[in-house]
Amino acid sequence: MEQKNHSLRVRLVLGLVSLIVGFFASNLALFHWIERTNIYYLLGDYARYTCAYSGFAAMILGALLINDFLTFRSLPKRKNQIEKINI
Amino acid sequence: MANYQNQILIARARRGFFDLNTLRRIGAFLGLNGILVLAALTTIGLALVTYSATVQVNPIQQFTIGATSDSWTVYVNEVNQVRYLSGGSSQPTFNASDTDTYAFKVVTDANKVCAVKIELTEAINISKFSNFNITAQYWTGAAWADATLYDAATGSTTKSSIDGLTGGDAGYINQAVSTTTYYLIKVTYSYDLVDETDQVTATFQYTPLPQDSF
Repeated sequence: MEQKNHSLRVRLVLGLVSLIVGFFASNLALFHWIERTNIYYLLGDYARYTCAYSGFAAMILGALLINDFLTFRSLPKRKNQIEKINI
Repeated sequence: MANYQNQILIARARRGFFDLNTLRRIGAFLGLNGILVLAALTTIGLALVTYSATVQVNPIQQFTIGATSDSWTVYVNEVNQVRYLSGGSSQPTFNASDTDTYAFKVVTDANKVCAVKIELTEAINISKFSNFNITAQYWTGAAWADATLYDAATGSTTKSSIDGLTGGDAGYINQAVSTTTYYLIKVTYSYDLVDETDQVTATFQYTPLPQDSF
């Protein structure tokens, strides 16, 4: 039970971080990307698109992780309530 | 018991961190979404990796201005008289800490020599002066001595003086590496054409030109 709570907390933190980082990454790629000469990215000409799509993915998946936390945090209580009722 | 735990640790170390079981445990802990989030964040990081190098640029100033103004008194019908910038009718008593006792200072390091172009921003009125010859002097450590004027920033062709009556005429002093020298402007003039006493302004312009060599 304790490990499950810990896992949910980690998912919440990771989800929030991912949501924020994804937002800034996609915002950078879409609106603030400067094509400078003599700047070589590791991923070359695909760097901007990779940054944008990874940002979108990070935002979506981060939201899903936060959803995991919101959904599963109330499950143990319900289970306890059910057990008490059965007793 | 302790020996058993050590064996487990050794076995884990041999397997490596990213073996199948470890990945399964991380997958169970974070879920599929968590794994995909880590992958997305890693990809963002990779997309923003650039190759770069940082260079610190350290400017060095070779030229320092000395006196920026002076006042000379000239007399109608004077011929071949001398005035100094700074100092007026006589050479100033040199004092390194007093910028009014020299015209400009040049400091060179071991890498670059320095030529200084000396000219007037506007030629002197030829209807008033019959000659206005500009030369330079430098401080030897004990006295002011005549400096050699060149006709270009590089090269060895010398010139006796800069003609202040000719617009655009310029001369260059060339200073070698690793030296510090203070310079004085010397003007030989003749005010013998008219008896007007209207004020005349002469503006000297110095242009430091760092060179690899002369």
